[in-house]
Amino acid sequence: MPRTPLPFFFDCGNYGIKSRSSNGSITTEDHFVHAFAQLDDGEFKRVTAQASKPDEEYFTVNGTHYAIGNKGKRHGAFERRYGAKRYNKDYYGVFLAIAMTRSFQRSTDVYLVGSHAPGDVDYTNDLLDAAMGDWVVGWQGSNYKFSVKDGFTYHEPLGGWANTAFRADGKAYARRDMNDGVTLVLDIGGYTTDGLVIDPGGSIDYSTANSVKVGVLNAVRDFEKNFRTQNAALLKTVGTLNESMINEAIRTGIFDLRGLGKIDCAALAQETRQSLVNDVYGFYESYGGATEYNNILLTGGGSELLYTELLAAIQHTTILVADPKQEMGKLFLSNVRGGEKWYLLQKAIGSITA
Amino acid sequence: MNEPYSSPASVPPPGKGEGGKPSRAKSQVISARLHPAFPTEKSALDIFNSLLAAKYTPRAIITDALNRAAGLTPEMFADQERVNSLAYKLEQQLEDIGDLSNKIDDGIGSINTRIETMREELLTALTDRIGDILRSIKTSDPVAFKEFAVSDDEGLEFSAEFIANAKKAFKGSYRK
Repeated sequence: MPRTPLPFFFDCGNYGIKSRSSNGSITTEDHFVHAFAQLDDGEFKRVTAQASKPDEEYFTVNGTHYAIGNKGKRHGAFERRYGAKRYNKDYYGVFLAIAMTRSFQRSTDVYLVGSHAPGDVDYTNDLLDAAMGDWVVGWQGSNYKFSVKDGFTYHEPLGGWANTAFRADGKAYARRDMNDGVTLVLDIGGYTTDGLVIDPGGSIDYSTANSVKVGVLNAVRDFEKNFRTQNAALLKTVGTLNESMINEAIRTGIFDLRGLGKIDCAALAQETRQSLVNDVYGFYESYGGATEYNNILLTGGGSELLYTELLAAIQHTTILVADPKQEMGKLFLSNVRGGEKWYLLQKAIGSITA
Repeated sequence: MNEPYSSPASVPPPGKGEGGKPSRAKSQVISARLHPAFPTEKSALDIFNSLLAAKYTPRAIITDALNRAAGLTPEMFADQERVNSLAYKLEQQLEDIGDLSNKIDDGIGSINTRIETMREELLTALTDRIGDILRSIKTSDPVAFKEFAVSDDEGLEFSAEFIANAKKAFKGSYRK
């Protein structure tokens, strides 16, 4: 008797890999840094031979060894792929296999619900091609097999909208005003900022789905360059600055350089945030401005980072944020949560039979 | 002669510190005047018995009537004037009991009306206050307002138009 595939909600974001899954009655949400390094057999043996059980950052996917996150970065420079270039089995597929392993922790058939930036809409079949098939993963001394049987993709801003507008079971509204008014969703991510307009009655205007290359990672790079210039003597012997630490510095105005102390960088942080806001605001203006929309919905990690500045810039009476306030700065799971609600809705109305 | 005043089995014992049993006449009066707020005879009697336990209640009148009834002898009936006098006094005492019962009944009704009024006032005040708080949160912090609004306690049905739009917006599964 064929097993019923378990749905897996996956966002291979440029800044972080996010997922949500239901393993029977247990719902798991996960987030890890978008980085991995491929290890040869010798390197992997050195890791596994020294410990009774390898650390949880080490995986073997279809026979190839990987280290993820900051441990992955220690094994050499990680070359991040952007946009549709990610949609290959040796990149998107590897991240997916690792995310499924961390979430399910048991072998299973999978129905993938994967998000993508609107700018990648022409490559959604590539995304699904990269995901489909069998994935055999070794992790912490156990082996798992995942068979991705089927799935669909959705625009990331749509996920943010569904998470805000729908009830958890995807079968009713949580907010009436999202049905009655016109909503502009702005998803400020790591590499792109995406927009999507939802008309009254939940009518999604896909013609408005658009992406521009404005994201937190650009701000991180700009900040790092300027911070190095301002602190050249201090950082003379420092090779790489940790991306997460830079992000925190941009957020707080204090750069915790650990062994080199804490540096006040409030002015530079403010300047960096404002520069990014100006770019986002330009994108927002291209959608026609405040009088066109009843609601402005912000989603993605950048929306939290820039929230105060965006409120001042956009000047709209109803600016909403798709991620819960208590989780802001940590997870940004609204897109995958909304993906689940969108999946549940489509299942309830008979569009999905799996 | 005591038999007519024995307590029915369903009547609970009187309040603490009081001797004797409530009369059948009293239980009948209460049974006939059950207030809507107290749907069973037992609950009404419980309340009445607790009132009897208080210092100034019909309990003294009933006890007096019981004592007088217990003191009646066949010889007394020969003295028509004395019998009439006793009957008159008993009748007066029963009327007093009836009046007190009516007053208690009216009092319970009045209290109930007051409770309803207070409940309405409280609900109105709470609704207004919550509305004020929500408006102030929405004005000062849309994020917090959003978190409240996304509560799973709410559930507004999707319209047929919405469902039609949702179907239209779904391309289908990979292996459709």
